[in-house]
Amino acid sequence: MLIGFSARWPHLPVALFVFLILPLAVWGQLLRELGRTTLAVIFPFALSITLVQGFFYPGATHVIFSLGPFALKEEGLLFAYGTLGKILLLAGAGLLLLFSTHPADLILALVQHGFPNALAYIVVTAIQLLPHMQAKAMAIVNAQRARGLETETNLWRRSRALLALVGPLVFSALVDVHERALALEARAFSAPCSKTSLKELHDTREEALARWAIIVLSIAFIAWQIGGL
Amino acid sequence: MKISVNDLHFAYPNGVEVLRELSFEISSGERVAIIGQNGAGKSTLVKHFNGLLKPSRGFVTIGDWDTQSHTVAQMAQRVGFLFQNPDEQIFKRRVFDEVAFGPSNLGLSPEEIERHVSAALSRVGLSDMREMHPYDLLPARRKLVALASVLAMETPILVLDEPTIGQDGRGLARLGALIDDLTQQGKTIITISHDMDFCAEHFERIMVMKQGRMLIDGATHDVFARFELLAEAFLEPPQMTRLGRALGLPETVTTVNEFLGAYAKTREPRH
Ligand SMILES: Nc1ncnc2c1ncn2[C@@H]1O[C@H](COP(=O)(O)OP(=O)(O)OP(=O)(O)O)[C@@H](O)[C@H]1O
Ligand SMILES: [Mg+2]
Repeated sequence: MLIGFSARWPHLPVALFVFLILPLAVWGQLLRELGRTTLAVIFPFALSITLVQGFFYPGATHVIFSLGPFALKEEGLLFAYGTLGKILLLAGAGLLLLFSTHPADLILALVQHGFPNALAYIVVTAIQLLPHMQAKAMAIVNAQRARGLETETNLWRRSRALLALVGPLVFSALVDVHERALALEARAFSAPCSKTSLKELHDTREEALARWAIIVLSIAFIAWQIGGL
Repeated sequence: MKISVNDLHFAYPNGVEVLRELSFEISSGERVAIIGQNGAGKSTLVKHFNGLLKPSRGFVTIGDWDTQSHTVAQMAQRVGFLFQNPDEQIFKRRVFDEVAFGPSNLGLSPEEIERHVSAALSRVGLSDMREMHPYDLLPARRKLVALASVLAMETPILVLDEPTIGQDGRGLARLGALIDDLTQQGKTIITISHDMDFCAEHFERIMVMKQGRMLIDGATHDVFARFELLAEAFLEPPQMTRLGRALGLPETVTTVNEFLGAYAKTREPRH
């Protein structure tokens, strides 16, 4: 990801996505899930960035075609392509991690490498909270339908109903957080002693090596790009 | 308005069949309590009454409406539904707005909405809390807010999924009185509850579910007299019934008053 972001060559992020993330996903048998979710994440960005940058990129001169007062310009499209590539890589890498790693494993790995327990918990809870909030939103929409809100025939009203839920959902999530905190304390979460884990991590030598290689490679690449200015 | 359930089968998308071969009718004005151990399928069954769930096989009709061909929002004109967990129902910032949500979907005028809301709030005893934030209330009170928001729809049929949970003695008494009162008005009331004493006091018909099937369906007295079948569903009859049996009373009693009546008879001097 770092490599893709620091590169000046605009095709690198996309290339990394195609030649690194996708093969990894195939290897982990996650291609369908990853592909579908990435598309869903990327599509709205793709549409808005292409349109906005393509037509309104400041200082662009190479007109591809014009539509009344609007003109699609080459520089804008290039910029949009660069940005999209980065988003694609970011989403792809993030989702790959999410799909391939059980949250419990992630938390354990983070803590074993000296990451503070509490912070690790926050990171993972944030990831896990999404499906939880989604389920809750569904439940509330159902309750609204049961009180006469028509959502089955009208897409517009349905999306409006969902939007109106953002406030209450965040609010009830905050209430949940309070209860979670109490529950955690009641089970000695912040006790000042070292903890044992129910799970065991299978961290092989090859995996450790790969991690170091990735870090060294990234630093080297960034240095090269900056040094090569 | 009659509810009729015909050979209802239901499976959740994960394929597990949760309801099997259910057929029964509930007439207008009946008071029915559904009991059964956790996971027996009670909530799943009642969600068919307002079309939140649609049968995998068989059909459910409310009056002349088949739930299959009506939206949940349409069914809401006939069936009011109190959810098991009030926090999955409440979403407004003011008690008043929460209770007004249903009536406003029915297209009532502002005056009518105001009247419905006030009536519903006073029924559950929350009249002076209409300006509060629902989350500033205790969970038991939130359940009452949710109940008021269902009452305010003034539907002929009411489905209450565990209204007794978390209520103290006063809350229970109020709820009981409310149910009796609604029956007076001719409403059909279907309640899920784990509180056998409450069921005995306020319901005339009991349905006992076990693993998605109807184990017993009958008049309260007859159902609570069947100790062995109830034990099979991991249920215990009301305290008074057990006490009556332990004392060897000749008839099955279910409520405190019945117990006292039957007990007094045994102590009358014989001629
Ligand atoms: N959304 C769902 N998807 C899959 N299975 C479900 C779903 N909701 C409930 N179940 C399963 O269906 C069965 C019946 O659940 P239901 O909620 O109807 O039981 P219940 O009798 O209301 O129990 P309780 O007394 O705990 O409320 C349970 O085994 C439950 O795990
Ligand atoms: Mg239930």
